Amino acid sequence: MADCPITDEQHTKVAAIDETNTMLKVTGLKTHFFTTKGVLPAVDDVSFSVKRGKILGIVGESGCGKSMTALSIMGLVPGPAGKIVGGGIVLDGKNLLTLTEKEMCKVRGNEVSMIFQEPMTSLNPVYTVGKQVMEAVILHQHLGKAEAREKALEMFKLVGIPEPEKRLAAYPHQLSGGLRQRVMIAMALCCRPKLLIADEPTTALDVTVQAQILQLMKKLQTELNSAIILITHDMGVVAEVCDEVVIMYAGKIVEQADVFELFEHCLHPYTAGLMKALPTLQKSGGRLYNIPGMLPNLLQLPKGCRFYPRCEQATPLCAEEEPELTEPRPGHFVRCVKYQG
Amino acid sequence: MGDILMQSRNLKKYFVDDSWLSKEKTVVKAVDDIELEIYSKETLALVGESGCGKSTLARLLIKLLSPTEGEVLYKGKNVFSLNREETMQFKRQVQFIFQDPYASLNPRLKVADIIGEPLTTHKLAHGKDKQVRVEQLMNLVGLRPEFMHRYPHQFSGGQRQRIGIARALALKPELLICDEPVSALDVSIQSQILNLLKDLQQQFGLTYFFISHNLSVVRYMADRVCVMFLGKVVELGRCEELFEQPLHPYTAFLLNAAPVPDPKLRNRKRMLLEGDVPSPINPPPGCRFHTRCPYVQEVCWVEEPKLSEVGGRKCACHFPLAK
Repeated sequence: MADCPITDEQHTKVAAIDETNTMLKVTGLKTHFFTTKGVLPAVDDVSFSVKRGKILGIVGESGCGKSMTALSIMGLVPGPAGKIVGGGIVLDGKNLLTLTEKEMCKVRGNEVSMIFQEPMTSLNPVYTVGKQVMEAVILHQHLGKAEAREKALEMFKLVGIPEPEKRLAAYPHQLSGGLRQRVMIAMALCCRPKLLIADEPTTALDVTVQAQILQLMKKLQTELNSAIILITHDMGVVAEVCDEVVIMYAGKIVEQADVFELFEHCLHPYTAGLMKALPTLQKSGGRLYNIPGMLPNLLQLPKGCRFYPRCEQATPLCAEEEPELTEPRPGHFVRCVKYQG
Repeated sequence: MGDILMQSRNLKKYFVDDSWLSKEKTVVKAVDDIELEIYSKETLALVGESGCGKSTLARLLIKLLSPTEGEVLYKGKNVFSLNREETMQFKRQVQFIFQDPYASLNPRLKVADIIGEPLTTHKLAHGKDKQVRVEQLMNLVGLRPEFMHRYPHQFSGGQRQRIGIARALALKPELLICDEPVSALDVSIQSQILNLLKDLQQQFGLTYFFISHNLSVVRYMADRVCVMFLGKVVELGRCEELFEQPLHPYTAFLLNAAPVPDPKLRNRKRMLLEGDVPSPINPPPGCRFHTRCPYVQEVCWVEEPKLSEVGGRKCACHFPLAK
């Protein structure tokens, strides 16, 4: 390698990778649902990128479009009502939106994989977990049965399942919630995906198991150097593992920053509300802050800022026009009139 | 602290499976010899991992299950030997709030019927009276009374939990057993429900038995905390003391595992529990925590520690962390 001359073409390629080191780039993504009652903008003009070996957290209440963003990346938007109507999703130089379903099948599970929220319902109860993990390997990497078994065993060891050989032959109901989630992670990682999407991976688990799973994800991130998107509504989880954070509200990104920056200088009133609403281990008594009202109906969005009806710092200007995403601090983006212009 | 409202004595619930289909007889000791007092007007929280017997204990306390051994006293009377009349009265005074607001409401009943059903069952109100009472209850929990003719599916998760709370309050109970009332809700909705529960407690002098696995929530709600592990109480004490200086290693582990919303503390020293909760089927001899405890010594393998007083608290450990 050292003595063969590098062509110009190779040079620019290397430079491009060095410069961005970006694994996934989502630009202006719009996923809308066409219902009989009107068009529902579940994901509306969302842009972010994830770098190799980094964890991006997407935070928001249920119904804010965070899961739909993930499903859009996976190409699993529930049709026929749901459609990606605009934007681009580029994974490691490949535009996923232009792929055919057949090509997408190869990407899914192989280059991008997903861990779902409920480990109880996303495993097939009538097959052993070993068979289910092997299925993914056989399908995507065209390995024989024996090799696939080896691979599954190796993954079980990696995610820390005790007695992995015995567990390969176990059915999902014989495993605890934590073990099932580990099986899901093993299945998602068995093809060494470039991007792993974890949709609320610890919400259904106990604190002790949650801590183990989060630790495991950190370990895998450094060992496999893949990019991870972690979807959650728990600011505590974000603080523990994420590098970058995106806060979503009613289909839009309202704030985006590095995790340290965000917790130190949070700018958007919604983010501040989410942080204040969280009870902590240190304080007791008093009253918890709560964000008044509810998520707006996406079919009848308020004119102007989408958070305006619930915002305590709202000004008449907020009702007029929707604020743009601006960058008041380096690398810190926010969508709020306070920081316009 | 008020008087003792409810008390359990040597309470045990074993689930025995010795049908001819199973290879050998298995005994799950879901609740094993629990002694607990709930004082009037306090909030006693019960914390533990899934499978430790929290929900079984709650079900025993409201007489949904009958114990293998032991008794539950409510205002000095054993609830398992009440006659029909007394049972109805007991059920009026003790109510339950369920975890899943989606599964605990009948989808075919209107909200007015759901909230009003206890009033009909206990023959407390009907007709116009019932409607007025339902309206009052809906106002109380922050629901618009106009919604009384809607069905549960027309409400969000937080609103459904409010319906569940209104139903529980319909009979003017003294004790509310809340089984993970906020764990299915978003953070912003969770804080609304927690505040509502606190307000109602002040307004009506309610007593709560609050089950949760979220320690931050427990810290916010509870006066006293009871930590359970595999069917046993391992630590019991006042909330602030227990959170600041845990005595049992298990409590310390639970506190340490809770995520902290501050990224600067992410590299703090961690104590991680290895593995899962040991199976409650034929639990290990000696201290049940000895398989996962880092401070384990020989005596822990043989002798089961008793729940005893340590500095004003109760702790079941041979070597409590601090005196």
